[in-house]
Amino acid sequence: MQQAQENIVELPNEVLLKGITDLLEEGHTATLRVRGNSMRPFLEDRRDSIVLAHVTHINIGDAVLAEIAPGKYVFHRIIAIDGENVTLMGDGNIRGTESCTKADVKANALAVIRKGKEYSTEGKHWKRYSKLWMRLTPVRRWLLAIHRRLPLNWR
Amino acid sequence: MKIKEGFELREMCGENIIVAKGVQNIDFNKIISLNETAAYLWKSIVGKEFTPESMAELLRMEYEVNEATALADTQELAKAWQDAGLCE
Repeated sequence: MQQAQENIVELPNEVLLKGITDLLEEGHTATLRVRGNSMRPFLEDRRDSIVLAHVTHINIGDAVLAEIAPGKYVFHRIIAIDGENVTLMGDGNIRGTESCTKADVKANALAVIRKGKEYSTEGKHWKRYSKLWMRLTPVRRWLLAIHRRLPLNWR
Repeated sequence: MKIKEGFELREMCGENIIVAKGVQNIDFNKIISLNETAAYLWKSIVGKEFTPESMAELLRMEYEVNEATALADTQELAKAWQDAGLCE
């Protein structure tokens, strides 16, 4: 009758994330598991989680949840802000970027949970990693290729 | 028993989920969701004293189910809620 905690319910992103952005607007924060590998090397598909909050202001380098097209959400990093226009790129992506407006940025990450350990996005680990990884963008292709070949528990 | 205060049943994307009021973070990795029948029972008994027997009666008012099955189901449900810390 009841779905116990060990049951995993997967909801389509467009449904779940719309519901979540409503909760965030009410002042809640939400922890949810990531899907996909576009935020590698830090976040691994279906293993790691993020803690989202309603966004108040954004900066370059922030990892945010954005609705890049109606019903299509990504959790990527802001790489440029130009007036109202925002450009995003996943840490695990080599070239592809997304564009949206500031209003489309629905949430930012308060923390990321990697291998069960929580890192505040205001903390030095995440900040250091973010700075370094953004600087390494030109050589990302090779670093990610190596990362992909590592056993899961090393990633 | 009784549902503890501070829990709220809300519908999100077609799922009935239990949200603790006042708890800021909602962890979607361990959320409690109720199916339609459980949600009906929740709404009927929230804020009131209930027993598996009284829930079974409510169940039989709404669904075609025999007494024994209804009671077995509501006993299981009450236990699950208790284990999850939702009622006292």
